[in-house]
Amino acid sequence: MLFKFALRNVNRNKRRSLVSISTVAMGVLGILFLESFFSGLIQLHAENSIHSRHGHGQVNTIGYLDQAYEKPWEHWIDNPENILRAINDIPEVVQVFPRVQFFALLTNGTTSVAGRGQGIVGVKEAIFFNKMNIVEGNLIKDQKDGIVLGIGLARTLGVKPGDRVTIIGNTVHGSINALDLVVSGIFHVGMKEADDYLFQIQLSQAQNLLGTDKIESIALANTRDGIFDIVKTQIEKNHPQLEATSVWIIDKIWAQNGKDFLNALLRIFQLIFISVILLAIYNSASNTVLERAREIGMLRANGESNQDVMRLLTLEGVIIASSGALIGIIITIMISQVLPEGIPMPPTPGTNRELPVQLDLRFNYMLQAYLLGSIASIIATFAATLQVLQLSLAKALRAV
Amino acid sequence: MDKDWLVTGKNITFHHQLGKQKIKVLDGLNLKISKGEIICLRGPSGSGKSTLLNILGLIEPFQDGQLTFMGQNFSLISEQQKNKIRRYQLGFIFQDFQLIDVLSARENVEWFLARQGIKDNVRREIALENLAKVGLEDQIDKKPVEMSGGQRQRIAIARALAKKPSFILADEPTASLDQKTGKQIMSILSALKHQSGVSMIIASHDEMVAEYVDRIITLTDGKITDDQLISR
Repeated sequence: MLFKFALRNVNRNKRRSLVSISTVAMGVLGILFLESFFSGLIQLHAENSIHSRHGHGQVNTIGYLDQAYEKPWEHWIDNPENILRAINDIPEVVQVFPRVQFFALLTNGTTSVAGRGQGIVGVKEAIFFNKMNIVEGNLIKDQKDGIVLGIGLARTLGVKPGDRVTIIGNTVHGSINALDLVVSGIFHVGMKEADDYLFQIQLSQAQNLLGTDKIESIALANTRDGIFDIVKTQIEKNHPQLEATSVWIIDKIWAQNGKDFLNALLRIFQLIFISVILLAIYNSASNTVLERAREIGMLRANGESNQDVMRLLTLEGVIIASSGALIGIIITIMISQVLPEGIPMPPTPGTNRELPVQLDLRFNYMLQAYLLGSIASIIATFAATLQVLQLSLAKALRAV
Repeated sequence: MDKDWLVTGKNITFHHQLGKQKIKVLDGLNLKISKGEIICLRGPSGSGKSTLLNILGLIEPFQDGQLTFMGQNFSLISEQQKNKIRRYQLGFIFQDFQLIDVLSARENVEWFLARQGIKDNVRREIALENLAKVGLEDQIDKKPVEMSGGQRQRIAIARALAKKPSFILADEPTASLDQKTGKQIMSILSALKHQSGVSMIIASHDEMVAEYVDRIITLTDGKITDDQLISR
């Protein structure tokens, strides 16, 4: 009967209840939308980073990533075949991608520009690294003399697929070496530093240019996200000279810092949304309880304790809060359904590629938004109810 | 012995405090009400009728004196005990009915039975029985707003009675009603008093009310100036 009474009280002033429910719904929509949007953004960046550049992580010799060496190749992985095979045998690892990285001068005969090259096994990388976003031509795949260039680099050199490019670099022994290559494709990963300087050639060509059989790193493709630590433990246990580093650490400036920044921003917005809910519901609930002061007085005169009245009014608050929160969640789900490709967004700071952000709606986000919205409005109702309970019984009965 | 009386009040004093000024409303009032008695409380506006009713209904605390209810000293009981007495022992009938608009006639009566912890089917029976006593057996599902003033006051009476209280306090129960409906209401209250033996105190300006009561107490300036038993 208490619930029935509370429900009818909510229905008593339909417009006011509707406004209250809408306020909670909007607040919850805001909280959930932002959280899932930011999470989607982080996911998008992580996906982009994993499938365009780093894989789920990277294996190097111990301490290699933390230090700058005069002759880095002295710290590269020697005789990599056995290591590659052993790592590939770890059940959580799908594929391993040996790589070398080097600096070289690229020239088209008239213009020269410095770039950072990556030697990769083109055929192996073509499937996993599917976010390279080739805007012209193709990945190098099995093209032995192929080279793919970042869009900025290609523009500076004024080359297109099919054009010839010569790269000039130093061997590990200090002599000059050069490779004549054909542009296979041009990529646009969306990060200026990558698009302006990065190029990829076949690993064998790179090793040839550098005059070494070593590899600098092994990029990893795991069976799924979130298992990097298992893989890391296995690798470091079996190969004490190596260490595995997660993409989140390699890409920390963007991934982790971006995540921390967005989380901080999210907390600020959550606070704003919760404050809006608190104030709006407090205002609405205050009007409601003051209008019903006589009725509440009558209830108290007939033996209802303050706790009983509080329970009734809070239950009304719970109905409004729950309905609003549920509607907010449903609207957010609908938005994500209406925009399955994601929300088109301009490039994020430091990037130059527009990417649609998909809402990453998770149960725990929904639960959190539901609880935040509901609890805020219940607290507001509770606070508003205290006003009428502070009235003496006689005054409440005389209230107009 | 106090226990022979339902209510005894000794030297009850009540004043409003307006700044530094004390406005005396009840001035050392002495009162005894026996079980099954129906009393009309009369007096001009400002004489203290409503205040006395509020004090007897544990709605307003008084500053001085002693009030006992069924031998229990009201000054010595906690708020929790007061709630319990209001919930189980006291029934209220207000001038403006004070019904819950969103509940039907039956639900209005049932509400406080539910609060007494009475089970669903039992309280429904009690509600129907009491609504029948006031002649509303065919209006049970109507909301108060769909009913006349007289019908609403009858719901209020059924609500007060359903609690099976020892004492009903009615503040101007006929004031919002026409003469004919007012008489009907008083007839119902009088008949119910005889059926259930409940005591009632009715604050009223209405001369007609006197025709239905056992005793008339007149208050003037916070003092009982007349206490008259009516013999029929």
